[in-house]
Amino acid sequence: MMHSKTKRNEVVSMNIIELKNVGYAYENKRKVLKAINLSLEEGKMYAILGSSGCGKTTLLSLMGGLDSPSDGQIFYEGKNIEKAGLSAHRKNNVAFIFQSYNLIDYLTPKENVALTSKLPPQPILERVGLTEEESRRNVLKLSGGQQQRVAIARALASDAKVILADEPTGNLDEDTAAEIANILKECAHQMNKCVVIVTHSNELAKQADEVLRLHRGEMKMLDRLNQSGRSGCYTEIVLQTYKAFNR
Amino acid sequence: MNLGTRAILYTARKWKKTLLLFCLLLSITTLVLSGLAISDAQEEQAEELRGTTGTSFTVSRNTATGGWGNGGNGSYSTQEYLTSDMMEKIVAVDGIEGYNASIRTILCLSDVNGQWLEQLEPTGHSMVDCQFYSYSCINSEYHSLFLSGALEMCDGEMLAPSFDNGIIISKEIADKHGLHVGDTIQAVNDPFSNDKTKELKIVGLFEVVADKTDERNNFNEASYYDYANNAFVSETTMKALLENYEDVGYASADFFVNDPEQLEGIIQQVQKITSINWNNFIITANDEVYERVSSSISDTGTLVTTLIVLITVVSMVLIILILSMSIRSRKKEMGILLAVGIEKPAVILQYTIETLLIAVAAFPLAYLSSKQVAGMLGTLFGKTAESVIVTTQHFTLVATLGAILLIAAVLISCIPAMRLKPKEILSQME
Amino acid sequence: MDLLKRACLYLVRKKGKTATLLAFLLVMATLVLTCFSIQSATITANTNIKKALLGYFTINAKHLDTGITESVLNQILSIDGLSGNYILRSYSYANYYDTDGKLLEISTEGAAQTPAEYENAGKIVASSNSENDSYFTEGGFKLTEGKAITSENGNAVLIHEKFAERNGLTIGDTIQLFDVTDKNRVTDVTVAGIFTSTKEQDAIGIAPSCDLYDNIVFTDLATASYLLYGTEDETNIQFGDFHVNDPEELDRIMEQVQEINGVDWNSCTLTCYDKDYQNAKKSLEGLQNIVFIAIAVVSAICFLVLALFMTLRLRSRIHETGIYLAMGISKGAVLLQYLLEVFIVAAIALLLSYGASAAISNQIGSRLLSQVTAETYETVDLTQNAETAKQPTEDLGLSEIIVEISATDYAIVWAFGLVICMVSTALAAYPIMKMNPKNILSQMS
Repeated sequence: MMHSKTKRNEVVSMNIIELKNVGYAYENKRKVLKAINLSLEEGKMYAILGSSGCGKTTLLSLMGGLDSPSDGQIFYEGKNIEKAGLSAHRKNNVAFIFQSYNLIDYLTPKENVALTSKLPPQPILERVGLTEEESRRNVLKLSGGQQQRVAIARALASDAKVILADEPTGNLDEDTAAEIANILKECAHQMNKCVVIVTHSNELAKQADEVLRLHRGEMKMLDRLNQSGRSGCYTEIVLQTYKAFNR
Repeated sequence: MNLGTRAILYTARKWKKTLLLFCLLLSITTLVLSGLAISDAQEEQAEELRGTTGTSFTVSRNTATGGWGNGGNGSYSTQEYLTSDMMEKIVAVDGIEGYNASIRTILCLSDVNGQWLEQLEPTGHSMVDCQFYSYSCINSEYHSLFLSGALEMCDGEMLAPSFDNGIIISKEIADKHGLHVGDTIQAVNDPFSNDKTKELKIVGLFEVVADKTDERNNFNEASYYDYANNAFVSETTMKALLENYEDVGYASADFFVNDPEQLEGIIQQVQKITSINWNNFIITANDEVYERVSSSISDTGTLVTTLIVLITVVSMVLIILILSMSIRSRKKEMGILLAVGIEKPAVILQYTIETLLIAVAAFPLAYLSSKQVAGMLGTLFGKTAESVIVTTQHFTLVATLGAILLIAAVLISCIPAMRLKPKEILSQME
Repeated sequence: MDLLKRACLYLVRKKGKTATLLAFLLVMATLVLTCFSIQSATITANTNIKKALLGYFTINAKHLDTGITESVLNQILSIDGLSGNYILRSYSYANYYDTDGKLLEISTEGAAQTPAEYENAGKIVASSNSENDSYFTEGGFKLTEGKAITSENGNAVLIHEKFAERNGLTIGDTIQLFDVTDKNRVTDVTVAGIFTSTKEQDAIGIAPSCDLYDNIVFTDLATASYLLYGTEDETNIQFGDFHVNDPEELDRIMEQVQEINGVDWNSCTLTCYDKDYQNAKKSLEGLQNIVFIAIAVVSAICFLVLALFMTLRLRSRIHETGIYLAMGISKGAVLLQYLLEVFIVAAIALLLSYGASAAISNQIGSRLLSQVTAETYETVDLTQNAETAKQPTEDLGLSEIIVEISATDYAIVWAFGLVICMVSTALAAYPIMKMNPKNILSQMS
């Protein structure tokens, strides 16, 4: 499937993020990621599934430049992110959405959105479903779903091509979670962003264009989850390695 | 899990925060302890300074209430003299540091072979040139000529009350006649009478500092003698030399007090001595030097005291601010504890115990560090800080009041959070 | 959004935290400022003590043919460090006559052998203020009638009551003073006052008749100058006692005096009188040291507490730091924002602290004795300016102790305060900034 798409577009630079043999070990030498190879494209929403502690969040942090891998390299639009500078990478290329929202508590939704963007914040906030009045409130006085919408708006406003979401619906009820998932999907499809979601929720993963499974530090790419909702029925297709992919 | 365990666990697990609070408490307690020690040291130094003003009172014969007699040398007062007994009673009053009284006479001095010692600037009349204006002293260090700085000891020692058969002469006279401390000379009051000649040992030599030719000093008998031609002998020696004379006694005596602030009280005490007929004696206070400097000294005292009060108040405010900040940052934890059903008082008690745990370590250490800090800073700037001493009383005071303040501060800091419902606390958190 | 705006929003929205920080910095700055004002006030108090210990030196110019002339005196008085208090004195002998040229009778009772030419003479004592003469201060003389002689009176004398009685003199009478040494100097003087002696003269039998208490006459300096030196329009003097502000400087000032040209300083005797100061010196230094140490302890510990407080404060903002970093805001910008916040609050605190410490200093000042009670000491003034001499506060010439914040102290507190705030914030931020963003975020969740 990956192959066919690459062939169809015939542009390698479509791979906005590439991971080459990325490994990560904690200071106590415990390896959480082993030689991960991965290519992610714009306009798609990816879901990375995995059990707790399997290294999902670590992988997301590495892609977002919050940390450096112990082995291997990460490329953004073909450039090594460490060479370009992690801070610049975070600033220009990626935007985070966290399970715990991580809004700045002394700023209003508008100001949170305006933190890294020069765009007018209100249209973006309205787009994710916040009213004008809600956009001026203290962020701590918003509901969880609303706070997460602000976080998404902040991510969208940042103009980054990659949105990295860590359990974005983890604290939310089913209906709200579904709405957030839709918003994220729209981001990928309509705004041509590369959305990467780390989750253990199958419901959320179902919405993704592609699903990857991280297991014991190794990555498996799965087919799109069955839209009909037969959860748990994954079809394992390819175990992609970078070498194989490239040649 | 009981709250004691929780408190200990918090203190241990959040060791960085605990350490910071500990350092803050330590510094502030050190500040207050040093402040108290400084305050005491200041008082002590001020007292010492007051003591250096040489404040005294003089008990002298009241010539106005006594009779007058006539003799060959004009009229003289017949008022009673001050006796040794009276002086001993007066000096027994608390706060008197020392006293002196003098009998003055003109002694003729000779060496051991009976050869007259000549004055510094002799007139040529041998019987005049061997005359030395002499004072008897109870404590020569309190003699006005030494106190005023007119004369200064340059060799040997002062005449203490216990000294017998000792004499202090000027260095110039000693040099003129090749005499040294330890040498023996002879003294007689009137060589043409049957006055006793005594052998005296030179115990000390003095140097003349003041300008004797300054006419300002020339209003009494002594002014006709150069300072170099003065001599000092002990009380018993003088009495032995003058044993042939009846009308010999102390016209006045000077009593020196430790602390001029007490002068008035001491004088009142002295006047209560019933065995002395106060109708015959007058007491005059000599505290002009003290009067001149006292307001400035007490100003310094006021300034330092205010500084210490300020330090203490500021320290209290700081402790409240710090604790309230540290407790406010634990609002979420408070919400969680309340949510799981722990009572508000238990939570407050936990925080109090935590704070006191830190204080238990910080206070004794502050006791040790405050003993160092003044000395250290002193030597750093080349100033001595020997008198700045932190006492156990200071520590007890600071520890007791500190503990009370800490508990109060925790309680005050908890008020805003405690007024909220657990849900509100939790919802305030992100 | 730029960091200045973020910093401002933080300060405005987090009112409680900003208030705590503001209160903290305000209290600190006020304490240190008040400390400094106290420090400078104690320096003034110390200077006052030194001054009040009355260090002075005496010039004995008895052996100079012209004494100390006015021009030399003015040169001496212009030397830096003199307190402005000085006493001038001259001594002489004179024969006393009434206006008819009849010799006035002196007392000879109990007198020793009197030198030739002095048989009818008495001692003339002149001083800038007769009340300050040692006969009055120590010898037990008391004025019973009339006024003391100051430099204001010209051709005035004080006479002993027995002398007045013996010669039938009263206040307002005129007598003549004749120079003893046969220089034919004669001057008319008016009796301005009559004194008595309360102590017996112990020099009976030794003193010549001219030195007997009964025969002493006090006069003004100009009269004495005429008798001694024959001066008409000028007042030359024999002795001068010059008080200095700081007894510590006596040696320097005396050296400077002896550098004045036109005077044979070898014939003069300069004596320094600073026994009271020498006695007090060690204790005074001790007292000053203690104040200094107090200020040093306060300053040092204040800065330490400030640094610790900043660290404590910043630790509660680790979370926020993580979010900023995750959003790609550089560490430098985050640090700068924190610094900016502290800077703004510190600036406000420092501004407010001026008012606060000024109020406190004022309070302290009003409690000081020197500002409440007036000293009762007298100045001697040769400039004939009675007004200044009578002002009670000027008496000892002590400076008023003003407890106030000097501009330099304020500037020092500003500079040090800001630097310490900035440095301690930066130091406190260092461990957080050194962590990688992932660790910060994982620490917070």
